[in-house]
Amino acid sequence: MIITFSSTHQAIHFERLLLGRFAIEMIPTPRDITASCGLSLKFEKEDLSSILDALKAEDLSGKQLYEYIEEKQIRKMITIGWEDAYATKA
Amino acid sequence: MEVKIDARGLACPKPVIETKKALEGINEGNIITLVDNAVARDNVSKLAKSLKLHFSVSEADGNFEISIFKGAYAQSPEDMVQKRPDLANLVILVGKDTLGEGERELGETLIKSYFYALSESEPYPKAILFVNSGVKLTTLNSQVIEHLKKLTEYGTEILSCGLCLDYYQIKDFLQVGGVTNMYHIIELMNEANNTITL
Repeated sequence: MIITFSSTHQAIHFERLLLGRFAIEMIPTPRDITASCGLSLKFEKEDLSSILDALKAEDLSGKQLYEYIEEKQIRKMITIGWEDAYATKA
Repeated sequence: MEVKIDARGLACPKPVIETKKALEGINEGNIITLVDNAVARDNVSKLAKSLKLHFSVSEADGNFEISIFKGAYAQSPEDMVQKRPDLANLVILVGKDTLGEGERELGETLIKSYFYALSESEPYPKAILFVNSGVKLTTLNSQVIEHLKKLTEYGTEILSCGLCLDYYQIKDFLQVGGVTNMYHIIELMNEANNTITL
């Protein structure tokens, strides 16, 4: 899964927040996502729930959550709203 | 024809230079180099590898014997069949542990981003050379190790400058690739079609 940011500072802030606690990775935003500052955080889906907990107090505006889905060898990006993510989790 | 070189006690990079000379001196045959330390063993092995020659290493009494075979059939059919992704004849020289000039925080982020994207983009470089504080990227706590490991699986050679590791006192913390010296660095850069300096 991927979180994109509208500013580099936000990306670095989130990285600091999560680094060491989760297996996250700062990557250049995949080309199929255009609206981004160019940096994204990548993590495994199984960590989503704990990461959502860790981000509870954060301002999530300007940040977008995506899920990579592979269907018949075609990679697809699915946008996931933060509210939906928190709702599904609960 | 068989040539034996006793390179024990010779300082780096002498064993490599002597082995290379001997290899250039024969058309076909075996060159057997005897060295007394692991760094020299690795460097001589690397020479054989870079020349695409078959070699074997054996150890006895704390010494290492590297036997290099040079001949018309240096490349076995087996090797030819083993297909790896194409490597560009490109060498990347990494002279520091950040990308670009400016705020360190941003530079650290950019270098991570760089190696991630590099490990995802074909063709892969032939070699990546780490010098000066660049060696901090191949050692402990570096966040690019996984990307570099991935590149080595594709055949990219990852090499850190030995004296730089020594200077920063992080020689024991190397996580990926091998240790090299300035002669090998020069050789790789001079033979490359393209060298990118970061």
